[in-house]
Amino acid sequence: MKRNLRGKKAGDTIAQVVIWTILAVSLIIFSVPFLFMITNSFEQFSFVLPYPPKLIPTQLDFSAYKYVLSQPFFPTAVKNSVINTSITVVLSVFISTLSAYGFARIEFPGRETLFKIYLFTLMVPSFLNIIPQFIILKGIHIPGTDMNLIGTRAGLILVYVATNVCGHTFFLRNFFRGLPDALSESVIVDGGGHGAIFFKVMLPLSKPAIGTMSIFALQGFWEEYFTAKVLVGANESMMTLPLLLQRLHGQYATRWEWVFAASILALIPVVTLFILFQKKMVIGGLTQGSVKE
Amino acid sequence: MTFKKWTALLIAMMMVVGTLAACSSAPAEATAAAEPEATQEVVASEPEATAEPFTLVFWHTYGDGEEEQFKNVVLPMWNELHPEITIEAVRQDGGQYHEMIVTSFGTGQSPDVARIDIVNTAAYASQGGLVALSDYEDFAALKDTFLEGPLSTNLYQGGYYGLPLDTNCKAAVINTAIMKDLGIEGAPATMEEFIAAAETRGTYSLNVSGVGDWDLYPYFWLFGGSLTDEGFTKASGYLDGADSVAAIQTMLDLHAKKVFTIRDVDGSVDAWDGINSEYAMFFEGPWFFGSYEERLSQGIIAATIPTYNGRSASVVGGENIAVFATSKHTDAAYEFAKFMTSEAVQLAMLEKGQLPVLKSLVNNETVLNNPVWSVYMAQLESASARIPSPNNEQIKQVWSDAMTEIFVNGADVQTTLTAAAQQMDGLLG
Amino acid sequence: MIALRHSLMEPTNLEHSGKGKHVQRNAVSKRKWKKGVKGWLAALPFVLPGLILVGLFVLYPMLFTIRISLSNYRIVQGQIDFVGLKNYINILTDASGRFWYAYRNNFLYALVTVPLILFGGMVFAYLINNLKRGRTMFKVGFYLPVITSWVIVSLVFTYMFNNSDRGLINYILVDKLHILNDYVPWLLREWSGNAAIWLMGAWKNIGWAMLIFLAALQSIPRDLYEAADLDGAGIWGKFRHITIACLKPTAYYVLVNMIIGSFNVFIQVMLLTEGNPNGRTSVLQYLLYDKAFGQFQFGEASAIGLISAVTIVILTTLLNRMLKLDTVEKGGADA
Repeated sequence: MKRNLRGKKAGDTIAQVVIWTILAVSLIIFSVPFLFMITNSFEQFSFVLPYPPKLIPTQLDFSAYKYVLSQPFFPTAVKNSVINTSITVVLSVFISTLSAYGFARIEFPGRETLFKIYLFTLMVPSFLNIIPQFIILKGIHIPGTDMNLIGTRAGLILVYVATNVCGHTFFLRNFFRGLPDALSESVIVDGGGHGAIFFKVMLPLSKPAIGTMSIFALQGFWEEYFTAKVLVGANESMMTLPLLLQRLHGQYATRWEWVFAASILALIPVVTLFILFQKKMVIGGLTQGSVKE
Repeated sequence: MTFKKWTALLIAMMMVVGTLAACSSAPAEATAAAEPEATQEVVASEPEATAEPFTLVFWHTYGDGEEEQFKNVVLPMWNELHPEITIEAVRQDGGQYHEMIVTSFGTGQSPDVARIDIVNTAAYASQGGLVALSDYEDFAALKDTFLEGPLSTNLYQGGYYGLPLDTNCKAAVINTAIMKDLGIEGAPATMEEFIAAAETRGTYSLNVSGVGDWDLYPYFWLFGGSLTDEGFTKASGYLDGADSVAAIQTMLDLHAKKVFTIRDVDGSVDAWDGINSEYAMFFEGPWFFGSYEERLSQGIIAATIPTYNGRSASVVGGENIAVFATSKHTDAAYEFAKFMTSEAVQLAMLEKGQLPVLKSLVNNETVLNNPVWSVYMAQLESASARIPSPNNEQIKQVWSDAMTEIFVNGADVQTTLTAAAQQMDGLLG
Repeated sequence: MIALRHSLMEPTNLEHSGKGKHVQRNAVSKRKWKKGVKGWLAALPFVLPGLILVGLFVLYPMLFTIRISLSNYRIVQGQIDFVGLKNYINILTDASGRFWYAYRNNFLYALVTVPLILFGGMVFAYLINNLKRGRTMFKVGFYLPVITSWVIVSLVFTYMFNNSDRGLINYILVDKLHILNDYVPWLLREWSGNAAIWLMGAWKNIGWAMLIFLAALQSIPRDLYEAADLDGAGIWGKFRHITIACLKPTAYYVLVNMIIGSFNVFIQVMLLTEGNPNGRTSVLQYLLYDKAFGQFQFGEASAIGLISAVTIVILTTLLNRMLKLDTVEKGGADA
């Protein structure tokens, strides 16, 4: 009996070592592009790439970082990216949570059809939408002025939020459906309506799910280039980090060290957030449903 | 209870209908705003009022150095002349500039005036996006001050839709140390001389990036090829003519002899990099010499492209400045375009390597005394423009598809060029 | 679905009660109508904000796209002339075959990357889940490519697949391992260019699948494994009968997401190959972008967009039928 246990323990240790080794080797292979990026952000190329290609840093030269940080638009870009991303995440998650609750918990005629339409929009390429979207933004006037929403932060955020409602609703609806009915019934017994159920029961219960989706959403908005370029690209005070990155790219040739340094700087916030929140992320309940229905 | 809820439903429905109505009316507004007649009226009637100060939006793709010069030197000159008109200069990144302009046509959010690539001018004009500047009375006189080649890139169906702003072309970039190893002092005068010297070297001495028009046209023309007739109406008989086939064949031979390498075909080192160590020569625009003192000190010089059969050749690049049809201040925008092509501004921008487009500046001291700009100005005399056509993007594709077939897949030169010429005929018509 | 089932059941109940048919139907429809209105009124505060935004910025543009795909669109004038199916015909019969290459490449991308992502994600998740130490490190490590923007990742890959000995891949294969004699312009050849696009797609998405699978694995009840232990099941047996079975719904979710993703491939093509050589590495989205914003062919671009959308719908529906995933729905749909 005792021997058997020890044998099992030894077997466990061996299994752990094997798993560890497989994962470690895979991770090293996986990290090659990052290693490459970090290493080369410490170089000084001036359009000439080093031979042989460097995978391990041989020097710690921060001049590329200094260059990027000294760009006149760097502070503006950081500020805009932070503001745009945070407002967008809060708004889009809030509106989607409301929608998801409506679709998951309230019966109304045409609900399934409408939801299918939402799903269908996820499959249609969104590039061409930019022109009609622009026309609509032009039609929305800021009250009290003769200005419209083009080139404004509000306009950009509105489009970001709107184009993500369908996806987020789909994501969260399944979560709401998975919650037991008994919880909401107690609220109904107390005479509460859907509003009470939503704010008193659903929202507190789904905090982790909403948080998880916020992290996913945040990553998407943080790197968004195309819409920002079209909607606020003509306004330098609205510059975002992806736009700045593209500018560093250069017209005729690429200064790779600048691009890589800027990329790493742009990556730090999202990686930090992910590391901080990864333990709290719950995904299980969110993926149970299917696209069919 | 029911009444209250009915009202709520009614309000909700009205909101939905209202928003839908807003949707459907919006494009109509855009249509009205962009009517071509409307813009012409503006052009014809009111001279720009001096009372109300206003802003012109100017898009450009200047790099750091040029942007600085523009902001610190050029703009103050404008502000002195026209204090009531503020110029809002917007720098766009070069990568997706064409796409940005196309998008702005769709959204009606175009700039008033922009610096655009010469090859896209006809396409924008054909879409009705630009104002025909030749409709202005003073244009006839203005026209004669510009160099012929750059000016012609603004022509579309008999009208001029922009003013040339800066010009450039490709010239030879030469590593004098490697040339010396080949037995040539300085720049080779003829291509024949260079080929004879490089043939025995065994490694590539001449590099081009890819098979696109901007890359290969100079070689194609240098070795005697031609794309179309002079009026750009027909490619058959030219692109697939005997001279053109021979020109491509010459390139193939040089490639086989390891004199000439195409980066994207052979996987060889990029020219900007390889010119320091392995290539003797490549052709490039003046931007390679952004900091030319440094280049010259490394023994890398600019020279006119060596002649072949006694003739040099190159391809014209550069930018025009155009006024957009959606602008509310077309007259002022035209004024700004004229200002940008004035001698003082042209000289100021020359300091940052923007070659001037004015006849009066060809023999200017600053140009002639500069070891790099003088070469490019001289090269312009033998440089040809790409086909000015609204179908530029498609023509470009026909060319690079054919060249890929020949250089990568080893397709028969004559057959490929004949097919390409037929496709091009359709696009020129 | 629930609403549908109710409405189907109610009339039958009423018919048995034996009253006049006409009256019944009236009563039923009135009641249904009332119930419907009630449902809408309850749902509106929740659904309306999203609905307005979706209607304005997603549905309206989509209808616009459908209309443009049947029209000749002059962008500056905003002039739209109906031309029937001309755009569709032009695309499908284009002499260079660019559409068909792009279409093929989307399918190939799905065929190659989706199994890699599914399998890779599942294996990594399973291994990490069985790990006693270092879970966080591996989780973050494999997830890193997911959070890195497509633009940045594409730039790194461009550099790695660079020409000559300056590119990492060429350097290793030619200079170090001597497997190849000549440098290869990887990104500008039909198959190596496509392979680079696939590799990047798989690399970037495996971490996402891993995270999703990991969460699913953690929600499998422990006692299932304990019961299997008592039955004397081996590691493989447990993996097959418990793990795989429990992961099926999650796998379907990942699968559908990745297939939709496969038809939205764009940035990596634009930044890695631009569809070169001759459109052989192009994909629908890149072709669409080039047609619309490069060549002013908005009609043809819209047609490409719709063909791509219809393809995704057909594919996901077929998958659903083939995999017989009705059981999946039980989890959430009937709550």
